[in-house]
Amino acid sequence: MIMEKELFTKVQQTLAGALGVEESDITPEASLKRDLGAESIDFIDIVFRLEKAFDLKIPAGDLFPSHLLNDERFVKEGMVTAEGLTELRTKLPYLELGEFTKDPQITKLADCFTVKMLLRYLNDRLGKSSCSDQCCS
Amino acid sequence: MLLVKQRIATLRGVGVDLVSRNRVKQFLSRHGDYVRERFLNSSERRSFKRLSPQDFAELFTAKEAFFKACGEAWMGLEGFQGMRMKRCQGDHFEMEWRTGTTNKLYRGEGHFFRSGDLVGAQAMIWR
Repeated sequence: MIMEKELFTKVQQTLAGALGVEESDITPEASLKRDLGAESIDFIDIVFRLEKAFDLKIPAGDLFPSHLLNDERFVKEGMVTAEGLTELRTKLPYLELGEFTKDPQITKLADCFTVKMLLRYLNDRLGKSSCSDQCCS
Repeated sequence: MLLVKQRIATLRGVGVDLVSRNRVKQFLSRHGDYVRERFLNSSERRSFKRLSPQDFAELFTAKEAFFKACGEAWMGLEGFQGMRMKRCQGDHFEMEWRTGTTNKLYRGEGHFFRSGDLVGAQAMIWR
């Protein structure tokens, strides 16, 4: 079983390789897009690198909620509805919506994709029961 | 006086994307097999027996620009696989995308442009 520190270090190395940033810039709170400058091709690169680094397959809807965003109950006129926010919280518990709920423009959702989200997801996938403060909080 | 009723197309969305060929080259050398299996759809897999950095850069920027023009959220690999690009004369392309569960259909067109190491695409959707 992978230790939390080891998990964080491996994620830092993976992200640094994909995004060309310093490992020290990769904190749990950092947003992949806003803070680390990830573009679309980088998101794909990150998914593929994580799959290889942790020997797992990340299904399309696990990290990025495309299946929810296609539903008109959850997104209306470019905004995530209250029902959509509830659905996001339920189906993507790794995602921290935070400030996004105040102005839920769909195009800003990518700002919520943080390093912490990846750590929580991997922690869950790799079979750990919970994440300690050092790792994800 | 003859009155002619004319339908004027209005622009629904514009999207632009740009990628470095060198970045694409690195990406393909690391994930070539994955890209083929998870990014390309079945017809693209048939069309591109061998996917060059230029091919992928164009395909990627066209799809990325198109989805920006649609104003949808980033849908990851699933979204990219659902888009169908048709390369037309010169640097012109046409694109069609039927989104997953709601079956929403987007159609549009665009152009590629290049500058040094960069490959870009501009896409437009008309109402």
